Amino acid sequence: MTASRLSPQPLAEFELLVLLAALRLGPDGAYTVSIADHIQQRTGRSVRRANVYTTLQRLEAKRLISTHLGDPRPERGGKARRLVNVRPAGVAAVRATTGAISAMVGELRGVLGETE
Amino acid sequence: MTSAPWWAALLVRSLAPRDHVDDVLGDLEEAHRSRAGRHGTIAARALTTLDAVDMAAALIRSRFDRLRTNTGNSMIQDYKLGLRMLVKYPGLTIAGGLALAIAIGIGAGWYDLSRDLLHPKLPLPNADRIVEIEMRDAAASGDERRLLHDFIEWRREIRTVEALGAYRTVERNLGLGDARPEPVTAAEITASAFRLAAVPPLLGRTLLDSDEQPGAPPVVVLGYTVWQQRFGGRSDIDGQTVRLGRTTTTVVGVMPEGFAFPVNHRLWVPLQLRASGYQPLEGPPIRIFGRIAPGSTQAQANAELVTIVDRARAASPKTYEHLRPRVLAYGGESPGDRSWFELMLTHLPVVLVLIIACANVGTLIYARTATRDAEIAIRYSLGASRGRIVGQLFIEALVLSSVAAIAGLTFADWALKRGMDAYFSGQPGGPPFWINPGLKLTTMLYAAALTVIGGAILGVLPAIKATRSHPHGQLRNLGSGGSTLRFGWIWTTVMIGQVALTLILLPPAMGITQESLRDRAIRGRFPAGEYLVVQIELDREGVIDESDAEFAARLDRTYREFARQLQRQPEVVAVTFADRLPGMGPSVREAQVEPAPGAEPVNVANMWTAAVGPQFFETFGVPLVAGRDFNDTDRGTAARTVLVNEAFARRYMNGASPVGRRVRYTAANASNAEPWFEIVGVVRDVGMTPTDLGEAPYVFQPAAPATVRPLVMGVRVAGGPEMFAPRVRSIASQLDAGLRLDEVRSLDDLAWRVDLPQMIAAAALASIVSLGLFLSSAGIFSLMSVSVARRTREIGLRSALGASRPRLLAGIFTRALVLVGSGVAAGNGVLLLFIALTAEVDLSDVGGALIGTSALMLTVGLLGCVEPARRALRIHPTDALRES
Repeated sequence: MTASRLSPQPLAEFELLVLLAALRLGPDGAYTVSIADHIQQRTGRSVRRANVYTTLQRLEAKRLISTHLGDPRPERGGKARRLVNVRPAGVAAVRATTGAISAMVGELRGVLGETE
Repeated sequence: MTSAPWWAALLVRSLAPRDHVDDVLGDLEEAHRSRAGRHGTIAARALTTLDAVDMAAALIRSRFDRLRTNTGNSMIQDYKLGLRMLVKYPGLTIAGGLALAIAIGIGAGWYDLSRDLLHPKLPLPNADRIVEIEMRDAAASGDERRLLHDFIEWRREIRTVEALGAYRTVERNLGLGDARPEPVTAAEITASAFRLAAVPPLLGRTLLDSDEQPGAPPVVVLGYTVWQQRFGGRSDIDGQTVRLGRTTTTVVGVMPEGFAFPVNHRLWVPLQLRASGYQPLEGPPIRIFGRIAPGSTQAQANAELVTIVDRARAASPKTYEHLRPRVLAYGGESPGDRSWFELMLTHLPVVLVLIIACANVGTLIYARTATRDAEIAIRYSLGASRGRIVGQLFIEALVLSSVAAIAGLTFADWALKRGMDAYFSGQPGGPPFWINPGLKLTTMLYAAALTVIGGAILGVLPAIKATRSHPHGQLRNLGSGGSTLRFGWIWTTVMIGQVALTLILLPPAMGITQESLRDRAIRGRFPAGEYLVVQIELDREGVIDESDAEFAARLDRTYREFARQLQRQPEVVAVTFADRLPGMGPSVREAQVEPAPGAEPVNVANMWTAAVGPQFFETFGVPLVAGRDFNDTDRGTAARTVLVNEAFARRYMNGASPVGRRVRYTAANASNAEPWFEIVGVVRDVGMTPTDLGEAPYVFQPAAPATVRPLVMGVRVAGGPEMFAPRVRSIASQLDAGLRLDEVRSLDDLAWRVDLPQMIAAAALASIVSLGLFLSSAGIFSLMSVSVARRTREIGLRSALGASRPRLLAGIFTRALVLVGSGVAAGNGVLLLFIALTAEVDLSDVGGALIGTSALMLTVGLLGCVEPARRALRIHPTDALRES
């Protein structure tokens, strides 16, 4: 049994954002361009597509997501999208990371003010 | 509708992985169209270009990450495969591993030894500035060490060398209280040595300049080992008095463990110089050292010294005519002593051994590669790159050479330590303090480089050859049941060269082994186990305060009394002395023999001589066969008589009695010949020295104890001589505290030590030749295996068409015969050329050996064919037909 099955892997901040975006967009709508746009819209920060691409590669190597090619689309010059599906291990990693953040933030409500 | 700029698309396309090209280009296109809708076409083009560059960088990083992961994984796989190959091919592992282990072990050992001997690292502060100063005598091609006069002058004048000091090594008996004194190697040394070494004492103090003054109280500084072994590490030793020779001396300090400056000394006493000074070349030999002063260089020191000696030469031209001073790096070679080319030459033999081993093992690995033809062809055709396959075979070879390197290094480490122990065991004090026996980190790195080079030669060359042909051809050939690999001319030449080399080495190996065994047999006939060898020396107090005549008289008295007391012991049968005892090797001199009265003298280049004391021949049971033995008159200075052995009579007198004839020693210049000696008797050949074989002409001169150097006593003892040795030491210590016994051991043990180097050489050469024979056989086996594998279909078809077994076998053995025969012919050719060029070897003497070794090589070669031939005969015709 591998270590990843025993305990969820910790995620870096951008990895967490990419996974959250992929979960939000769903398996039929999550791909590099849409994930970058989604993060940019929700967080207001500038997101480089190249960073999203390399992060997806890394998450796939960690077996937290899987990818497959969709149908060719005319707005992409007839090219297909590489669609992202978050695997259960990815969901567990997101849950563990956000849980840890919530736990830490919970102790600091007095300092940070109400966050919800 | 606008599209992404073509250059952006081209950049991304060229860098994206093949299976990601579509989606990455699609993303680029989609993002561009989105930008064009928001910012306009021109801005979109600029932004997309930047985006493409950013993406290109990400793709490059991603490629590198993937390559690193894949390479790491595949290398681990290759290493595992390499280890499996070691188990799967045990013959190759043992034969190849052994050859490589020997080559890498010799290479690493030699590298380590050469660094220790030529470029040692002194474990002292500012070690690179410590120098030795020597005076070369150009006329005598040696060093002039009687330099007390010059040392005093240099110490006063020289500016580029500081802490200039001198020492000489002396042997002394050291004792405390009633304990029996034991000999110890001491340095009579100037106090500056301790300033130069800059090592603080463990207890007390080091020597001071005031200790060097004539008349100063005698003091001694003890080394750690002497302090521990002789005085049990007593903490109150400082200030105690000990007996050093015949002098009561005060211990003033103890040096820490490991300190042995200047060479291997464990005891230091001040070098006291005469206040009135010395004449040039007066006084005992000394060695001079110092440290290059700050701001000066070795070259400047050399120049200053030359200037000082030039001045001395002007004052005393005759004394200094041939003397040339030199400043040298301490303990090793100085920069510039050897050219880069000469340095490389010192490593050439080692590289040759490695190349020979690699060539041998290469044939075996090539044969293994041939048997894996199918695997390589399939991998090749499934898309593995040529580099990938070559890399895999390289790592497999690297695994073999690494295992061999570990074995070789372990052996080299053991051999170096044992070898150093053995080499320095006969020398007082042991190895110099800068020599650290055993392999060092730099040697390990050197061996690692040899291992990688070996792996590259062994793995890469066969792999390149194996992957040279097109995979389709290989696969097609595999279907027809044969290997596509051939033993090309390179490997065939290597095999022939190997056979030739083994053949060339066989005669000397057999010769030296035979000689070594014969020597031991000759030794065995002599009752060496009954004799005790005692080499004695008498301490000479101070540097020069006893005249030579006084010392000679004292030595004579002491020896006679010592011999008298020994003879009174019940176990002692006889006592004698000589400058060498039977079995200790001869002293060789140039001589002239007068074969008949008035006849022309015969020149003898190598006359074996020995100076012997009274009862020498009786003690060793050598009977007198003609004439008389020496008497007391013969030992006087005016007497000129000698004895000779029977071999002398046979060689120079044609059977006539040599008694009454004459012999004399000659120098290179015949006008300097010594006076004639009359032969007064003939003794039987002693026979203890194996090399004489009863054929070496010996001349024995009469000797007195005071004139013989070294003075070696032979004591015949009933019972074990080793048991008697402690009593000999006890008698000596009671007789005179200055009487030093440097060697007390049985003649048997001594003879064994004399023979040991030859026996080691014989064993080493025999091992190399045995390995050569084994590898030749294995190489021929490999070659024939490949040949049979390639000809499976042909042999099967010939068998199906009715070819008889003897005919098939003849085909296989003929190839081996041609190959081995070529090697044998080449080897014999080289040997015959050598015989023709060197007139010393007669063909009739070695003809039998040449035929014998040639037959042996042919037999070994044919034995290597047996298993491949068996395989060939097992090929069933129907199998061969079905495969075709």
